[in-house]
Amino acid sequence: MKSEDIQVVAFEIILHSGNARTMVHKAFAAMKEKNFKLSTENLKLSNDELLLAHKSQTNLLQEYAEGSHIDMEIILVHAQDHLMTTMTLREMAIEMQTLYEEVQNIEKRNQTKAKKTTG
Amino acid sequence: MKKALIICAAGMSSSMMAKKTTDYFKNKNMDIEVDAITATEGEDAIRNSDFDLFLVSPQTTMYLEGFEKIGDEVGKPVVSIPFNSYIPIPTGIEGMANLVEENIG
Repeated sequence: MKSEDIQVVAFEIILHSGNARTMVHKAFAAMKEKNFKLSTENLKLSNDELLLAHKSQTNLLQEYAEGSHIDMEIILVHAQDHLMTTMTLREMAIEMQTLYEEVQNIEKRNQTKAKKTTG
Repeated sequence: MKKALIICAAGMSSSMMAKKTTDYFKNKNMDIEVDAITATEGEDAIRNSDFDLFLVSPQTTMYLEGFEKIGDEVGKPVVSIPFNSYIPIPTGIEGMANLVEENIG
């Protein structure tokens, strides 16, 4: 594989991971607004982008498995870093969505309780 | 000489794009230089540096709005780089160079 091809694969991984990260941030914003439908949608879209990043990576791994020599260029290491950190951020976002939803449930319960005591 | 600055996540892929775009301008005898920095330095760069144009890479779209706002404040253009102009192949470099030329004023 030529150096230029490796760079292109690295950029594909970086760009798709970047899109995924932007969508995770959109999901976080939606969670703050308690719009869980929108946050779930954005987390799903971010997963689609991560799959595209993975696909670029898989092509590289397949070439490697077929015996073609792949130079481990620094830009590829960097691309991998983009991908892994974004995946971790997305996993965190899913955990946080559960917490945000739980907070909303507690708030709702408290409101009903308050109504009962005042009513 | 005009100067453009690419802002990206860690400043690595953008360094590569900046270098290749600068070479492209050199080959065309155009007096434009492109440099790169990380998104964490972006705000300070737009406010305080002498660049004529700021380009936000596609993988840092989440910071675009904030950077555009600062660009408005200081009267400097901040533009977003489309996906197909951020890839180190000849058509990508050409797209980036065109984007710089169109917006650098």
